Amino acid sequence: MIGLLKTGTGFWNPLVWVAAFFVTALAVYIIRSRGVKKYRPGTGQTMPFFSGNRPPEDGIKSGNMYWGFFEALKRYYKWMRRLHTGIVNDYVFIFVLVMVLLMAAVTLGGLL
Amino acid sequence: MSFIVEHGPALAIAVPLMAAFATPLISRAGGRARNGVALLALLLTECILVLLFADVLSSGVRVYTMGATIPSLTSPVGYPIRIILEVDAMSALMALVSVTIALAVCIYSMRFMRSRDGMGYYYALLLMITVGMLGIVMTGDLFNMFVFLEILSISSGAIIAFYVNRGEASEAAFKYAVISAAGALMVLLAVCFLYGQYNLLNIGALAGVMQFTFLDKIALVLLVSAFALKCGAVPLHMWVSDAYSEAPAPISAALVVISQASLYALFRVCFTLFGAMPVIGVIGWFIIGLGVLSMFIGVTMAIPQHDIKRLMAYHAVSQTGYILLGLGVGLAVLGNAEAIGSFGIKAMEGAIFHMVNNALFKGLLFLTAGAIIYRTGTRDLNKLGGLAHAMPVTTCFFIIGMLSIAGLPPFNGFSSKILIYESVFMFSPVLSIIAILVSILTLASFVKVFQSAFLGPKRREYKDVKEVPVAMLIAMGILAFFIILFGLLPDLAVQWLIEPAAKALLSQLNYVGAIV
Repeated sequence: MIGLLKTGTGFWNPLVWVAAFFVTALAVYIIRSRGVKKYRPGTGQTMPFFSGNRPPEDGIKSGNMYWGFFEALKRYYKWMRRLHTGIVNDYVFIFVLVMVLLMAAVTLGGLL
Repeated sequence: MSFIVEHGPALAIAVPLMAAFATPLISRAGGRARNGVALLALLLTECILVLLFADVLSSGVRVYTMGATIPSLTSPVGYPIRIILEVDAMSALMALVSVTIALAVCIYSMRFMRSRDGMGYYYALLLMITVGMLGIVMTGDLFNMFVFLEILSISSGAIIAFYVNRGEASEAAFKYAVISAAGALMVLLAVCFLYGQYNLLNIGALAGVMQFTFLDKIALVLLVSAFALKCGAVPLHMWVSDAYSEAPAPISAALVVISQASLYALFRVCFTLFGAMPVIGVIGWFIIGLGVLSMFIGVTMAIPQHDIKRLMAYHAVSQTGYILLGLGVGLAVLGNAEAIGSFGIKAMEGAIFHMVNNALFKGLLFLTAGAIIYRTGTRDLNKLGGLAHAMPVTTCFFIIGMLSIAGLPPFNGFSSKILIYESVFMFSPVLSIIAILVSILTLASFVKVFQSAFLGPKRREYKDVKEVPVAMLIAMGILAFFIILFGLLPDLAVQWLIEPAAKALLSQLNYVGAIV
């Protein structure tokens, strides 16, 4: 069967997925076409949904997005920013550190 | 035709090499002649590699001894001498992918870089990058791998600093040069350790006589660390965000393939050279650790970025993590024939397939970022918005790249990721869950880019923005075509491209036997 990818424990066929997608899209289109057709420009109907608030005039900036995610992971990001110093000496230090760790792992692995 | 196939490995390197030296001279005859020569050289190389790939699939490993009267005569005195190129299905696949991306980058650059000075040098460096990549993936000799790595590092370092008037570009190139030099030094040291013990430099011959001494272990550690550094695995990824974001946009796409060449070297060293070493399982676990860190830290560092190219650079790190995860699982179970048969080879196929796919979708995404920069002059997502009104085709290409990198069906990213998810799940369900979580975060990150750059009302400052020139659309179209093709027909891609490559990596004896 064309498109059938065997994954070892199962399979994946994108052509079947595409066919299913089009059938679903058709169903959605039919349901949508049976909905309310009235369109009132200049009302809340045409405004983007912004949790009940008035959206900013120049749109949502990328910096506004995922605020909650960053707030929850504030300590992680603080730590990450501290690691990413931008100083090339630190890069080489980390490289040496990784080599030492790998050497230790290989040596210990050989002994076990 | 048979002449081209017989001399294919040498020709594939010689054609772009000669063109690289010719382009600065031909530049004096005009931009069109220079562009034509660069494009022709890459097209010719692509044709040679297609023939070579077909030959390798039908006839097995092809060796080429430089300077020998009979190119297949590798060991005239009982051991391999001279520079030997060795092309198996893995090498041929990686070479083909490298040149395809280089070709797209060349077409894209014709318009993207048109108004810039020094384009003769730009194309010379681009062609030298191609030479370096092809050399790394086709050489059968460890010292030549170092030489080609240096060619790649120097030419890519120089081209990262192409916008030399920008201080940041020079700084990024400096960091890249220091990191590359440190990595290359370790590779050279490892080569010295091996040559000092065995008087050999050929990978196949070395694999055949390897005694697994303590010095061999040091050489293995040096090589794995150096290639992990060059492919940008966390925590050795710090240079990636600077280099990718400061290089010209089409070169950022080429840098993705440069990382893939380093990954190829890592694959080759681990499986072919040290594949029989008893501690290779430890290396596998170490690479799995690097992979998980790369996936997670790469994507979480990408999300807060508001520089579109820097964001994509962190995603390049994250996607490298998937490849390392598949490779690591393959290595960790290398000594267990049952595990290799049931899921190890699928993990490797997933990793190799993701290498190919990553080059395509990451390349496409960097080119779409370039299209945005070309028309708006900014990389700051906070300043962008509403571009879908004026750039519908670029928007479509971005959506294709976005869905593919996030691993959504029916694109190629999903096909390779499902191979990784399922095979890694058999090894450790936790690792597979982390991989799926990272894909969700990847989608979240690209939804942010899509919303910030393309959605929303048309902005006043971008009222004159229009679609990018045709040459740039063609380059993006080539990559989008392969993304859709490999997404819709993953079985054919795996059967004809990926499976032979994975089997070639596992068949250490075939690689050694072709030389000795």
